[in-house]
Amino acid sequence: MPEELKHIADDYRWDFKDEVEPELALKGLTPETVKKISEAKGEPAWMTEFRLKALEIFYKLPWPSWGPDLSELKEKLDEFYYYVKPPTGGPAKSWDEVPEEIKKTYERLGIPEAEQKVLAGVGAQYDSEVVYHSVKEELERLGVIFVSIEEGLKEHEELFRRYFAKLVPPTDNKFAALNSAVWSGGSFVYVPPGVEVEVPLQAYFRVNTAGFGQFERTLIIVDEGAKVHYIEGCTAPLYTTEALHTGVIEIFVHKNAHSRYTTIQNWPTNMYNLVTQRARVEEGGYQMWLDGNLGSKVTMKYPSSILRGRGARSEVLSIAFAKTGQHLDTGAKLIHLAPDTSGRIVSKSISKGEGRSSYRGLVKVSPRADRAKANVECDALLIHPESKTDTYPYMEIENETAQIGHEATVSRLADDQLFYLETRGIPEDEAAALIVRGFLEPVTKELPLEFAVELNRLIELEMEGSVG
Amino acid sequence: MMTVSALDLETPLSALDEPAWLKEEREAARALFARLPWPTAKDESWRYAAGRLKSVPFDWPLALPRGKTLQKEELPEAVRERLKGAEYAGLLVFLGADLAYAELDGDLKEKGVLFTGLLEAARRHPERVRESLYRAVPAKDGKLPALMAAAWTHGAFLYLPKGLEEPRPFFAFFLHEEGTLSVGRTLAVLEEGARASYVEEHLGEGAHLAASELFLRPAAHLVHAHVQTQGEKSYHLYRQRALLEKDTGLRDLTVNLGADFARAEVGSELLGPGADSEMLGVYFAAGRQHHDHDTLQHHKSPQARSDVYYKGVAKDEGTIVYQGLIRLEPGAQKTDAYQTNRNLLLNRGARAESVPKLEIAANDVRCSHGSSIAPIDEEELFYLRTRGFSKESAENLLVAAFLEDVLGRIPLKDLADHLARVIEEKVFREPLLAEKGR
Repeated sequence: MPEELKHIADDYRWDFKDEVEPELALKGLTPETVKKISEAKGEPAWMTEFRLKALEIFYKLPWPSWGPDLSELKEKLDEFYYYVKPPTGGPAKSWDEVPEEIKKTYERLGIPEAEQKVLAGVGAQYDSEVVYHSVKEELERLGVIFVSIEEGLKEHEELFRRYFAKLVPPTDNKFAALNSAVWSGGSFVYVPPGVEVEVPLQAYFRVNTAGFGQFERTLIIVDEGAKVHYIEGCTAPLYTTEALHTGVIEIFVHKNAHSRYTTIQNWPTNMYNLVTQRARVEEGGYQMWLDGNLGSKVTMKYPSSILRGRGARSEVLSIAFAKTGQHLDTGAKLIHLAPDTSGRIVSKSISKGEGRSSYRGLVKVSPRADRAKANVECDALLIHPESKTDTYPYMEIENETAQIGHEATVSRLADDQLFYLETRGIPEDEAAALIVRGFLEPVTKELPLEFAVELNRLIELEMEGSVG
Repeated sequence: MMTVSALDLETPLSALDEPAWLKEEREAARALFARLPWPTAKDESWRYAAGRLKSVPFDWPLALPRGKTLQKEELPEAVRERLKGAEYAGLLVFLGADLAYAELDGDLKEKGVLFTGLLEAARRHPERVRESLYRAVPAKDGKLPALMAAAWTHGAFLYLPKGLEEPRPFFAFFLHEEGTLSVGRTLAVLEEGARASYVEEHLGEGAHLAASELFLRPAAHLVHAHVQTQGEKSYHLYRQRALLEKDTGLRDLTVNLGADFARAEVGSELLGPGADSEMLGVYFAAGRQHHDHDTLQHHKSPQARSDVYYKGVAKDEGTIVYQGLIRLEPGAQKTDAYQTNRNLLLNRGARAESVPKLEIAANDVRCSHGSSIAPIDEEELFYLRTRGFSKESAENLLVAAFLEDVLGRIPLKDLADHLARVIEEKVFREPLLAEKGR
């Protein structure tokens, strides 16, 4: 392996832990835990009530009867920490205020300081509390709000309350209920009418306590004619205890607004990653979900767009790379509720070793959605004989003018392609990586440059020694 | 949900003249039926059909044999019409649960071909029936398969000995009677290298449950069709499983045109290399009809091939549903498996659900599926109108063109022509929405 790649290989293991003692750590899933979380955050009474009600709903809702095996998780629910508060006195305003250990962690994560300064705002989440958060002055001047979800509730309560849990209520599914009860951390974004945010808003998430479940909650409101790109990347150090991540992301795309949400998860392979991501798109609006799933033991994540206004559009582009011990159950949903709405789903999955990747999706066209158009493309690449892939696309169409298409293919790493590249002097591993990159290209070309570079390097590492 | 209590079945079924082993099998199935839960919308396969299942009158009296027979010249008009000019190797006509008429080419009879009622065969050729019965559609598959296994009273049995090739089709007609619940079962066994065509048509009224078990021993080839054109106040629940051994070929066709609620579960198990299963489907739901389909291509062996091609049309407030699964077991290398579902909606109120699924556990395979739901092309319609076609004629032409690539693949021309006529009738029929003034 080239020296440079070795360094990256080490980086991608993330198996380091910082010596930061938490101020408060709450274990177990009880009303007391929920009350203490709310108290520690100094929340208004309505939020405490909301959380407690959500916990009751969580108890009542059934576990999913489909999809990956969650039996181990079921038994471990009470062993997780539901809230961990690191020892800082609130979000740091500048890089200098960020504690040394945490800075070290970021350095090891490979986020150069210079890059952070270039980026519009970096909301870096250290466990539950946002410890570092900077928003360029210009964004402030434009009236863009980019703060932690906690600050959002504190400083913009009225706006917050108007949107919070309106798209993903606790009753939506068991994990949304869990998140609603114990949520902590995440971003609150508001882009005022007509404002186009040129640089992506970027947040890094890290989970750092053994057996700790992270329950981030993000609320993004893109007002009329506004434009924003939000990027979330996640990673966590490796621990032996099974960890849980249950996020809820709600995005409101107003008339003619334009929103992009990019996330690449590379959680360690003992993590349960169960996320609800949903956008509501009004007339002429556009929502793009770009979803990369590389890590975790089990992922269940189906970004959804509700196309509510005439001419609303959405695209969902996703990548899944499942290795031995991983079951990545991902997909997308397009709900067409208005005329002339359109959507596209492109899903590319790779299964290696005994890895299993599943596509699960829904395209629904209501009787009112005249001339709705949607196209779904799912391609699966299988590297080894024991690799697995599934496709479960649901199409429910109640309008005779709709045009809906779905295509899926399953193929393997082709011998003839490998052979051809080898005859041109390209070593086998590199050839395999090249083929995989080509397979993913329709999605990766939409990625921000630094993500695309990282992803390509990661694929090179993953493909090393996997053929021949 | 309507219930069929264990008692409802016991008395009528105990009167059937059949061997003791079969009575025992039924008894076991009946116990299983009593124990298993009814399917609900939470069962993926019943996601869109569970609601309509509740409307099936399982409390209607069970159709039982009454010893009714017919002479050839007494055959019902519909059957005579269908046979006009057709050449066939054998013919069975069922009226309710009675095998009313049976005919088999004398030459074939001598060569060991069996084509008779399943109940009759269980009495006269128990060894032939017993070795295969319930092997493809066992009672344990679920509530309805258990009911089908426990309560069948009639159906066809086709047996072709080793190496026998018969080019003429075998026909079976089932005329179901109003206000009855009838349960039929068909068993077809083709020994090594045998070749045959078998077509089963369901007409009439009532609520009918049908199970078909198809056995293709090595190198056997079967053309098989299950055609349902029952009245629109009737019900039809069908489950078919074919077991394909090495180098076999199945050309299968499922047609749902009639019934208020019709459901077909059609599956092929590919058990040996060189097995090849082609499964075609055609359906057209008008009025408030619901046509539900669930296909399975189960590859247990390497080097087999399967292809599903289902096409549906919905009009008025009709609902068409397609669910299908390609499942490749570990080791099913060098598989070719394809699945295509196309849907056409003719007006507001009609709906289509399409769920083509893949579960793949082998890598050296070629698998793909495609599904589409699209309206009638306005430009094509406009073009035909400018050439003087009425709206209905133009639509009919476009519906016929849409279904042509499935109907065109039916190897029996008479059958294809007959189906085209039934479809045409449906297109031309007054739209339901117009009647309601909407």
